[in-house]
Amino acid sequence: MPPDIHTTATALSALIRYGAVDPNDCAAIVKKIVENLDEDGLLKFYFAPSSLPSHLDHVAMCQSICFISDFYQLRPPCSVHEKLNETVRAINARIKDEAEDQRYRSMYFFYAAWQLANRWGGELGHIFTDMMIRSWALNINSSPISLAMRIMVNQEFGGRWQADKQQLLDLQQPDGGWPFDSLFRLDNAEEVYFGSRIIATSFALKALETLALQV
Amino acid sequence: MGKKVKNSVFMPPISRGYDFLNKRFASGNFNSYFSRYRPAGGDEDQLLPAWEEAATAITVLSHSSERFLYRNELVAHLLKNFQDDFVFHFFKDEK
Repeated sequence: MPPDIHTTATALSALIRYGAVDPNDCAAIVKKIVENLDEDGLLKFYFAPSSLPSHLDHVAMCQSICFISDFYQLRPPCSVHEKLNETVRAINARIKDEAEDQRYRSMYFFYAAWQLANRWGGELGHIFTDMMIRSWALNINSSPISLAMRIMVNQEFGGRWQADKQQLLDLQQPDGGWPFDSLFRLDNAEEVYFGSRIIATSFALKALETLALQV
Repeated sequence: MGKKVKNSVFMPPISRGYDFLNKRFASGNFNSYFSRYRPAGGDEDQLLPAWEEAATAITVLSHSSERFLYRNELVAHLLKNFQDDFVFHFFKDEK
């Protein structure tokens, strides 16, 4: 599988939502992703495995599952659903006893698990919610994306968000945007990151609008 | 482009945030903005046209078509680069 499958999956998820991509192209890619399970039930792909931390492959798997969910509008055929179950159980078996694991410290993993927890019910929904809550507990800091994610999760689960909201508002810059933040950061090499003020501002606005809708 | 972007001086926080995004995208030069990348050992950020971040921003802001004036342009931009760039090529090379 291609090393940037999660980029493809993320981009296609966005494009599917706007009807901007040919479903026939997507069908071929979905088929390819679903057929590429290894003997442990994990999707095979990604970067040079030895050079990057293992949590990235779980992000990629979650993003791929998001894409497949969007493609089938949460109603995949039984065979695909069973393969997704297989993959998610395999991910969960790998990480459920590793509360301090690096992958939970990834904001990208947190975001991916949150998206999936919002989409799926049943066994998959429980697993994704558990992943999201574990990651939530390890991503407590005052960066804009972290604050925004915590506000949205707490708002959904009945937690306290007022202090985080004030911190987030305090971070807004005179030009209206939020400071640079990164969704993707390599935890074992803090100087490597991808991010932007646009991403930070997008998350901040999403969180504030989520709260505004509740008033 | 040429869409009307309001003055942000006395706007509430959410409106000011969208004002920031709309001004950033008003130039139409989407490639410049999406990702700042700091490589291992590097002391300088590099700007990258990151489709993944573009797609994430579109997804995160999917509810706000009225306030985020450039969403449709961004979708079109993503699609164009998606087709022309490396992502599909990997699939073409796969058996």
